[in-house]
Amino acid sequence: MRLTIFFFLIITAISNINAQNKTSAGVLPKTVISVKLPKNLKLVNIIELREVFFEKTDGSDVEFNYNHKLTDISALISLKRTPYKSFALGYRMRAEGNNLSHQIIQQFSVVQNLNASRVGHRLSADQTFKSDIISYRFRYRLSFEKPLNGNKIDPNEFYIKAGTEYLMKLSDNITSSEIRAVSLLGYEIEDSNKIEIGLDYRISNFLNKISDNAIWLNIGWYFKI
Amino acid sequence: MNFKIILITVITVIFSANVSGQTKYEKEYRIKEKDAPDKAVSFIKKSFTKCKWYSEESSDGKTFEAKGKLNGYKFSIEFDTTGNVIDAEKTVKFENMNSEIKQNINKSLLKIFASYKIKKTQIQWIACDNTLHELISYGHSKKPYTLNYELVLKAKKDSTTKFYEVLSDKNGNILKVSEIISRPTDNLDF
Repeated sequence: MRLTIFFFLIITAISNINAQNKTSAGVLPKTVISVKLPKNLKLVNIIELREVFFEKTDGSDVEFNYNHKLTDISALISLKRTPYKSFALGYRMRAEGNNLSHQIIQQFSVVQNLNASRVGHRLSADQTFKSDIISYRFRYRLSFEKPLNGNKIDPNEFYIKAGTEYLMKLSDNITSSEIRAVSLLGYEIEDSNKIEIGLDYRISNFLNKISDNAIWLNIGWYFKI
Repeated sequence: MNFKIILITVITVIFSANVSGQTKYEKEYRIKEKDAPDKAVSFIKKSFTKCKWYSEESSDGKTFEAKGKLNGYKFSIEFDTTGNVIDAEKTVKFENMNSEIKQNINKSLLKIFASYKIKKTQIQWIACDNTLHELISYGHSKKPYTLNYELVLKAKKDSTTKFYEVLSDKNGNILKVSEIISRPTDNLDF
């Protein structure tokens, strides 16, 4: 929890450096359904939506402005080298308004088991093909998960998850970056079925005069078949 | 509209999965000292000044566990519901163990696994209360007791790397090998 507060303080401080901010708020529902395949492989299907409800630019009032911003549909093949190390390759289709873009994803993740918690590291890269432009993103995500009671998360038990992610994007020779921080309350229905809900704060273009801030209600459902 | 349909579908599937899911019942949770059996609390107070108490319920029954530190070592003492000690475990570093035992354990493990890395080592003692107090405080006793080693390994077997819990006797002979079923990591990976 202290870690989450620390991350929030850092990104809030960064967002305050800028003279002008653009802020949006909404809901970020995500479903992750994985299907076990032979030889330590699994197919991971992800659907993620971005629904914006409020928007505000500094100096203006908060406006209710519902906008279905985008839909991401991804399919990844993940190979577990050990129970806690995996490589994944995949494809993501992003529908944003009338535009459609295609992404190729590569990621490597490691989970560390500590005494009463787990720490996840994810290194990921993707290439987006949109019209004639190819954009490249590199990202690192650090996640921390801890049961609210006891040393391990059992079925029908709540847990907390906090994390931060750093993204760098290169598109048409322009570099931009984004920082994300999440603080979630999770509930494990059973080992292969869990839901998480909480806040997801994102700040991008924080080195420019106008930064983009987004506060999402992050709702995730993870189900393993 | 899209959002509503997806939300309703997700909620329906989550709850139907919960109803149909047949899971092995196992629950571990933190408890207060006053909720542990009196006999277990008295045992702990003879050796430890501070301990964390846990209870574990499963289809096999209920147990209590006290975790504490003494002389720089981590201890875990397990009790039954009446407060009788089941066993006491002390976490040690494998490299600091007696070289003959280390050699024997390594030899036994290489018969089972192609390669392995020891992640955690615990000395397990099974004895009467007085002997256990001596073992916890001084690490040795002249009275009779059973000594085993409990190891957690990351090991390769049949070209697959998994985590295992291995129990060996005091001479390094393997008594039991069980695979540790790891919890899915999807919520940390994706």
